Amino acid sequence: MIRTNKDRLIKMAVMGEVNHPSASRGYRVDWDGKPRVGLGMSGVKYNVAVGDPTFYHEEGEHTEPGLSMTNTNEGEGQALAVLGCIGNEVTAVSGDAKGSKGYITGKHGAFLVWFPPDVQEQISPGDKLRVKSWGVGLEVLGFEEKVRVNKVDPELLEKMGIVERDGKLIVPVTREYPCWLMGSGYGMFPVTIDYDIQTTCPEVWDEFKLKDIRFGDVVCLRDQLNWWGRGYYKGAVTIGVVIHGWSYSAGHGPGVTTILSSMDDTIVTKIDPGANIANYLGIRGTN
Amino acid sequence: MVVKTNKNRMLRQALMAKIAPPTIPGGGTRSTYVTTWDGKPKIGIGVGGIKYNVKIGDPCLGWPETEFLEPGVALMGVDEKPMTGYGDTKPTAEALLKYSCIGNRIVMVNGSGKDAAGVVTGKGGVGGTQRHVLAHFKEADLEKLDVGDKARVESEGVALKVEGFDGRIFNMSPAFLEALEPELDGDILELPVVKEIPIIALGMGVGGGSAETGNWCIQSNPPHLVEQLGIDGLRFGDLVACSDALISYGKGLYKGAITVGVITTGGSDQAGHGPGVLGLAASKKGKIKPRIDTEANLVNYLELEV
Repeated sequence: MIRTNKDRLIKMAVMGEVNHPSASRGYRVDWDGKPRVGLGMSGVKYNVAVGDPTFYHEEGEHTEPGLSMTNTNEGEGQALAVLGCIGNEVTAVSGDAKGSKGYITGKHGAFLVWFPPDVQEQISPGDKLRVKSWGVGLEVLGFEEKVRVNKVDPELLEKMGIVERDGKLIVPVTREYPCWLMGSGYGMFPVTIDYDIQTTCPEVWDEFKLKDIRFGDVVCLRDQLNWWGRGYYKGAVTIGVVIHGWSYSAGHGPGVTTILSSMDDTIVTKIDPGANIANYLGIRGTN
Repeated sequence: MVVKTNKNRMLRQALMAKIAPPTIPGGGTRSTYVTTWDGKPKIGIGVGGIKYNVKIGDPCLGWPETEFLEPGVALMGVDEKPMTGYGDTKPTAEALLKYSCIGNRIVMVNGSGKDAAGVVTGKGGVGGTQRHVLAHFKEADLEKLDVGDKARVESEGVALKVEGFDGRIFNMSPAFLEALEPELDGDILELPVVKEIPIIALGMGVGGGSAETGNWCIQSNPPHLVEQLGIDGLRFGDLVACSDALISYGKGLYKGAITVGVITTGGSDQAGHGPGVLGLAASKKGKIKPRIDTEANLVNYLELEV
């Protein structure tokens, strides 16, 4: 069991709303020049949830499981982007599902939110949601200088089976990926956006079993440092959560919100096929 | 074998641009500093405007306090405003960005530098931020230019093809392509480059949506990566070959692919960032043979006056 500074973290309300799918007038072009529609971002998805496979949804592009939440007021949206953490509790405050509770399961452009399937049936784009944000500033005691924690609810982190042993943090993950597989979102700000495991080179699908990746999987990224930004650092270890689905746009694929990162081998992985936040949060996928 | 192209079928057309003002890096007007890979604040000068003492052929790393330094003169769409983060580009500006090709002639159409002639040398910007067309003017003309002055780009080169080559080319005027003295061996195109860059070096810019706009960064931090890659001597205008990288209908990993590009912007201390590579030629099947030539720099192909 790990100990954290969670008692020192501010817990505060931030607002969002269920957004609506958007579309362009023309086709988007995939990595090889083929026109595609591309759907699955934003809105409410009835049959895609955390725990499900990220591959394959017809014409899917960055498919976001569950429902997607944004705040389109610029300043408020930025605050939501920074403060919201995976595992934070979300409450519907308007619409037919008013009073129902769910969880944040990832941060893409929008936040991805899980509600129980029967509750989600009652939710419409435009419904207001309140997030009990908690997690910015989180540290693992004894690892304050060695491991940066990002975008994860303290209680979810405690449920992830992480063990402290001999000055190392042993973290269960489903798989590990090399630095060069990482794509869109590279170089961006870990606090507000994910980055993608590239799925646009079919030659590596089998090598890394990319079709097996599930929404919610906890994964390891090698030689990747997510501290003050996001980039290469030899020997660094980053742990993240898979939040959205496959893509056919060059350099894109399932997105990873990064939650732990060490500059050296302070983070040690343990392969566990059950390392998925659906299991840790006690929620179920659709299949 | 000397290559055959479709250069006689190229559309030549005028594009309008204006000299872009200097800007601070993305993050919005309230952000006073960018944060370096190791957690230090930095101002990050160098994007936009007119550089009197930084030009093609100069080192692209080591300029103090700079981020994504753009050599020479930065141009933007005539109706555009500088962006403070990710923004939408107007279709006219998008045309300037997409249709301008390295080697295209530029003529100033107003201001004290009216009639001064320059050359397109690259494009700036990664992601959706501050996308510029970069230009070289001779020193005497630089002194006459002002931010906001209008320029006409004589665009030519979009859809340029080399007959028999199993790949795509972009961002090159026909004259620039010919100056590279490319050779075709079967369906393999041989092009000069100063260096090959492995896929692990490439960072920000991956996932960008087109070959004609936006750079793909060679990461210039942490220091051990720069040393490992041996890139401390890279210059603006150097041609490089990126292995397992495909800049074509976007930018991404593709095993066995090769993309040849040109260094258009300078280094960065932000994690995952560094000198920007603009794609020139790419083959998914690896049908480009890089010919190592330490002089493979735009100064030697574009006859730039100083």
